[in-house]
Amino acid sequence: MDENALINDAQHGDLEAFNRLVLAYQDLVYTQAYRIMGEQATAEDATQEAFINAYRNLSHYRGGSFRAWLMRIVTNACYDELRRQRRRPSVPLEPVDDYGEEIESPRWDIDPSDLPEDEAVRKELRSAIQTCLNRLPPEFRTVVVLVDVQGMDYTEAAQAAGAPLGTVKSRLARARLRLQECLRGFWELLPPSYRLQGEN
Amino acid sequence: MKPLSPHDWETLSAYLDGELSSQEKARLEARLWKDASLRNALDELGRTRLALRNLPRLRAPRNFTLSRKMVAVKPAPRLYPFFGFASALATVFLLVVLLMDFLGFGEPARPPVALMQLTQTAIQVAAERNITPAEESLPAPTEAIAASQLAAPPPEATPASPEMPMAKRAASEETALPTETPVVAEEGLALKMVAPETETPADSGEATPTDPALREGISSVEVATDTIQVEEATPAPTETPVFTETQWPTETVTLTETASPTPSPIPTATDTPTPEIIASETATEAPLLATAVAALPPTPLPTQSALTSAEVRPTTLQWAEGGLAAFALLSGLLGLALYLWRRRS
Repeated sequence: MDENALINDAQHGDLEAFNRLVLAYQDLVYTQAYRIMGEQATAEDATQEAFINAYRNLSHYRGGSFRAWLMRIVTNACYDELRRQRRRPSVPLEPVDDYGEEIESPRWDIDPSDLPEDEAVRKELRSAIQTCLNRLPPEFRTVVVLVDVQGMDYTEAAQAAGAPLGTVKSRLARARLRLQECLRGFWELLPPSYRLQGEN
Repeated sequence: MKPLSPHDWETLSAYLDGELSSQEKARLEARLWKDASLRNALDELGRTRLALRNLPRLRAPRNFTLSRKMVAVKPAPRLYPFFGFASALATVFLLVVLLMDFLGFGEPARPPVALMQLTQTAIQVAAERNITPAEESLPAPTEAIAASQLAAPPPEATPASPEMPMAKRAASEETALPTETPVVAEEGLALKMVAPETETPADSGEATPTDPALREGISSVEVATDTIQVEEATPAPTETPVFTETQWPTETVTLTETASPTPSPIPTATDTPTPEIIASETATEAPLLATAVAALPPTPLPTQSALTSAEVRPTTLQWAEGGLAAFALLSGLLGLALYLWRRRS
């Protein structure tokens, strides 16, 4: 069944049709939530909240990119969660990886000799990028994740971020510049093959 | 190396995403060909972008499918709509009460404050002039006189020669005045006023115009003839002003009412001609308005403080307005607080 039919059925109260949409988009939505939130537990909460809000507000969907509409809902859920965190700050006791599993040996404690070189470097690079993403203001983070991680074009990203096209363009450039400065020291630690890959 | 401007970084970023127009793209490529630092900046930005794009898409750690229980709408707190409804209802009642107050419903029956104040003024003026009412009881002025006096503009005292006989004087005034309606001197309307010898400028042979304050007081008494029984007035005590017939010729006051260009609102203008009130010493049976003034009982007059307190005291409608406004405000604030609390939670 195509997406529009599922959306139409869900708009008429068919929860089963909506759950099929959930299964189709949950990785995308969770990735967005995780890249914005930077940790699994809150990303899961934001994802669940986003789908509940999406179902309740499905009558407001007027066509267009369903993906962008969902991205906007999950982005707003993340902003709400970030505001709650700011009111009640908490520090996780144990670090977790991208998949929510507790990291027994965090990045700063990794011995590269324990892992194959490529895997160790890739993991370290991902951690570094996520750390630099977390340092960005949420608005910049959202745009750069939408465009560079989710692969949206500017128009779709503007729709998902709820911002004008010019604002998206500007935020994206500034976010990339900040990430570049954040990652600059890290490039020197990468093996030459990765540096060349980046330049290619 | 010249640092790049924010606009340059924005252009480079859009160039990497293929979001520049052909013209912008050609202009930037021309700069890149010449400027090595710009090329380095583009390379570094491209590397960052590539690293971000190489991030793997994460797999959801679990399914986020929804159940009926999860999407059930939470019932709103019961008090919130109640307070909202109560506030709206109180506002509606407040508007109704305000409207009633505006239209004058529910006003308590108050004494004619302005009238009594005017009467008091008349008494004071009369007392200052040391005028005493006549010894004999005199009939009260008729309502027609009162109405005509009330309707007409304040009469002007016409100076007249003291040597001229009263009737002749009246006649001369009647002919001299350019009135449209005939001026009638009625014997019954004659007003006799005598001022003390010491205060009377009659020795000099000049007629004194009627005191405006006194006339105002007399008019107010005439207005009050509906409620004040002048006929029952007993001779006033010696301290009250007294009008005597014998002392009158020294000061003759002629109250002339002429027809004004604008029609008088009182129907007596057509039924009876506009009266000319002439103080005459021959009109012994004429009603003495000043006697009525003097005959007013002094005690029932409200004092100034009593009048003020009567005006300040809120009426039932004002109490209702205050109560409803307070209730509407309180319930509205409570409803708003509950609403905000619900949103926060």
